[in-house]
Amino acid sequence: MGLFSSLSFRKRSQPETVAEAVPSAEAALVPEAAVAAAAPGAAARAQAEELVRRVGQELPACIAVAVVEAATGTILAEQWAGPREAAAEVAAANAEIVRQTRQCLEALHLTDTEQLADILITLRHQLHLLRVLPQAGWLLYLAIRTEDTNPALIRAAVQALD
Amino acid sequence: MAYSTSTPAGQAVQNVLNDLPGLMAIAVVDISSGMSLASHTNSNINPDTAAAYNTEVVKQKQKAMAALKLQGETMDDILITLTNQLHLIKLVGEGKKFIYLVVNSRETNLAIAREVLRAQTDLLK
Repeated sequence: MGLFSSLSFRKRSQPETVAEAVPSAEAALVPEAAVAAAAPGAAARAQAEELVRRVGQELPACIAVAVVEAATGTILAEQWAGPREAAAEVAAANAEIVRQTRQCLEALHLTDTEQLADILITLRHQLHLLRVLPQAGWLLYLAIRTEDTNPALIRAAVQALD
Repeated sequence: MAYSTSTPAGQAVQNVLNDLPGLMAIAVVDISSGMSLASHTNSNINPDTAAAYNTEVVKQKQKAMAALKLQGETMDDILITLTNQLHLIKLVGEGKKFIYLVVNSRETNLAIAREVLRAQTDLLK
């Protein structure tokens, strides 16, 4: 875990990212729900960046935070201290975990009464959380060292996003 | 009852049932086949169906961990939180098997569920 955990966050230049993705000023006027459902536009990305920033603020020890489109596994926004080239693959694999879990709930006929809230994966030295965000089709992925937090704290921090 | 207490997996299921008589479903699952070695349910949840899907969840996470090239890291457990239920997948036997437990989150919390499953890890080595 040495390399992965000792790196610090790569700071993203938020205005720049938004500017290059904005095709017209209209994008910012589209209602939030519509943006979340459509292909990730500038406003959606800005909203995703904001969520990542808030998680980073609540849990400053995070190794990685990402907002991911559940259907495709595409990263909409992230603060990532791990190996850069792994980010896309990790996001896709974690989106697949959520998809499999939902399929499982359907196969068990639980979907009438139960909804997926989150998936917490405990590794020896890290906690990984996958949380279904209220924005349609978005997931939050975060990784944090076990010694820096506990599951109850993580959950409190991400519940504050709803 | 889909288990025999003469096997370690069946004994583990029996032990967990003794500790948590109100549990909703339990299974000991072989990861290479996705099949239950022993299982029991007190609800309409079919633990053998869940075993197959959860095996894929475990494999996907192992893939994500491989992509991160984490050194000295192993997966301990996966907790799936639903509206009223907790589904806990505890890796045992050097990652070759897992115990799958479903409880009502009003009756059992994560700490209790983990403690009960941890007590079975030696049995399933």
